[in-house]
Amino acid sequence: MYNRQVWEATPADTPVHRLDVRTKLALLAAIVIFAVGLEGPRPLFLLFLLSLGFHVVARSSVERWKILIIFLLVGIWGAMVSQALFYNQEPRTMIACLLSPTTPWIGELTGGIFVYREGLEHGAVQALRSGIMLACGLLICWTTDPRQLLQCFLHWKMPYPIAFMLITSLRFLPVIFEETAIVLTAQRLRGFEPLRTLSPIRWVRTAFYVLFPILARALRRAATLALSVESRGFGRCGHRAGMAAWPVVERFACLTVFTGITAGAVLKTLYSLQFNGIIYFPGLRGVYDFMAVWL
Amino acid sequence: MNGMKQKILTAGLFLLFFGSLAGLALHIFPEFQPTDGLSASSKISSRVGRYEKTAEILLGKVEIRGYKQMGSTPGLVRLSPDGARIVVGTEAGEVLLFDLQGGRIWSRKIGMGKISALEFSQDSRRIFVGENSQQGAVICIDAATGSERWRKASVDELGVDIRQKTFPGIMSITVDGVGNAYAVALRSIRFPNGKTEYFARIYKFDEQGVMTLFPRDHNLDVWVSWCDVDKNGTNLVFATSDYTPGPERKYKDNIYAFDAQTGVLRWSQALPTVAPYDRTNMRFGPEISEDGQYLGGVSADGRAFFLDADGKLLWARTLSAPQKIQGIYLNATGLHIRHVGEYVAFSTGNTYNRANWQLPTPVEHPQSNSIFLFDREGNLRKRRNLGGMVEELKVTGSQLIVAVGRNIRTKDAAVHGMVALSTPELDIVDSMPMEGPCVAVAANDAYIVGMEAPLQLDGGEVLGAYRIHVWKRIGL
Repeated sequence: MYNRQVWEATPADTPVHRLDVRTKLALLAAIVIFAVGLEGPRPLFLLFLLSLGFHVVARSSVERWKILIIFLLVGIWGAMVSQALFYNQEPRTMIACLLSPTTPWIGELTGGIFVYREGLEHGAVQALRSGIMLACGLLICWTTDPRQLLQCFLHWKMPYPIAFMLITSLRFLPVIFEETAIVLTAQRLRGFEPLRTLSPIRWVRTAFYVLFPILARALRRAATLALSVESRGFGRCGHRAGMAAWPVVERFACLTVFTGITAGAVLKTLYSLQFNGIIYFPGLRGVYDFMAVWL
Repeated sequence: MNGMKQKILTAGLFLLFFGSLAGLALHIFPEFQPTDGLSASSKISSRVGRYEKTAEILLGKVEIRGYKQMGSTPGLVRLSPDGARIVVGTEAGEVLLFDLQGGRIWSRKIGMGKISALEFSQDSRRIFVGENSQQGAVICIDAATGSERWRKASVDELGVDIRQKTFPGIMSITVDGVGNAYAVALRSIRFPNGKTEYFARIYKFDEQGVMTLFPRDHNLDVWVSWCDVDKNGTNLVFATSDYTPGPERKYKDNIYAFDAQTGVLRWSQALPTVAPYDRTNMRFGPEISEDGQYLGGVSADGRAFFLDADGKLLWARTLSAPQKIQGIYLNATGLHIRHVGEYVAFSTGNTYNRANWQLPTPVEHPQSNSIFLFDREGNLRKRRNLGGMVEELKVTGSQLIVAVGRNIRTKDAAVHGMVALSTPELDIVDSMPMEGPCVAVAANDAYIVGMEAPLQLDGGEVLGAYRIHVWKRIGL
């Protein structure tokens, strides 16, 4: 049975839920910057574990863990397998041969299909990056009321139409999933088994059968929503509710994290300068070593 | 029934996820992989049965080389003089200390440099690590804790060019019997006109890390990558190479000896050249005998030299004469020298093409990949071809322990491993095979430790792994 609540924010009394929405968004931005800026698999893996740890602290339900795990598994294995097969940098090490170059026609055409070790590693790093962002993004969706997010965006002077669209898209996500479930159920009731097949042609056909009804319903809903917000005076300047004061401790924590990011960016720039033979400071050797080993 | 199915599916999903995470973690943090010694049930014997394998330790990732690339996978392994510890320097810049059962005691990364030299102090309490980087430092590590005691950068003497990436590097480290360590540092710059400029210096460190330089006040203007010192720490010798010789060079001779205590130049020796070469280049050696009375040297053109402690050339022998094949000179380079009692052993490596040493040669030099044993009068007692590159040569008692690597010509993987040879017969006492080529070896009377590197065959298959094998002597 489809449970719509799985996709929506639910109130709870956990440290993550209690955090101010501005703190959550600032920390999400910091984590995203870290995930993009870090290159070493070690710190990325630790950051990934930290993002999963937040879900433990937020006491995410088993249903939510299942959703998170499915997305993460698809991301991890998808990135690793695709990179392992199509990695084209040097050095690269073949660890398995899927199709020998001597295979008639297709082997000669492709030059052989191999699994490359460095590709697997590169794919894992990319998967960790996207996994960190996904886990943290879902955490915010599941622990923060969209109205609070809208208030925060407006408080930070984001243009109202953009903030509204952002929050609406977020709120529409569970609706889309619910409608997908309804369409699949409807088709199943008519005797169609869309998922019980291994045929790629059948998969494509199923995708069309499912996507068109969803698209039609989404368009219909969007038109209703547009009429509704227009009738309520969308876009006119009116009184906006202010936000409560940002707790000092949380603000200080965010400031510390962003100071860390700035320091990291400076160190990374210094390391890049020496790596590219532009400038090297012998007195910073310890810092360079730390960067080389850990970051 | 449906509920149970859901539970099983959920459990499977969680298992798959945490299994994937664990796999990723083990790959990213190889230090958490089980590396301890072999269980009693899986003890492996050597071919003859005189040695038994006690541990096999994976060393993490390394670039896998094939037969098309010249040069071996980097890696160093040393046994402590007290025989209780193994230190390993990996290609990834990690120094690891193990006990003889394969248990890891500590490990540390040296940073952005590449490990180029490694040695225990005579009292086994310190480990000297040489690195190649912008600073070209010698790092002294406390063997008990793994903490750094001191470091000395050779950049102060040799300089550095960050833009051209001509970095100083520590080429080798040796120790005497009275607590001193000696490191050879080198930096070379190749100019577009083909000329090469060299900056080399030898550093002596006492037990407190106090430094003395050889020569005292200027750099050597030739390639120096090796030095040796007698047990008493009195006679310091090194050999030189110069691939673009010219009249402007100050150090034109081939072997130099300094008083290791006063820093005074005692003597130098110019050795004759052999066609088609215009200079005798010695990248390895000279090696001083146990009693300090003799020096053995080997040149890149494949000749062996034997001198007394005062620099008098006693004899010279040709190990592998350069051969002209289709207009190009090929020869097997002289590599190692070891004194074994009353004998001296020399080794030759793979066959090289003089025009471009990085290109594999069409034929193998008949004297390549061999050990030659001479007595002190210069009589050849025996020669043995090992079938693969002699990567390292060690002496324990009256035996020679040889690390046998790949043969880029025959591509015979059956020769990989370590071989113990008797002297003066050079008979095989025992052999410890490896899947991949053996790139380094350390040995004492009770243990032999070899480092294996992975090797990619032309068909893509990978043989062996980056790991060390510890063998314990169980028979005579």
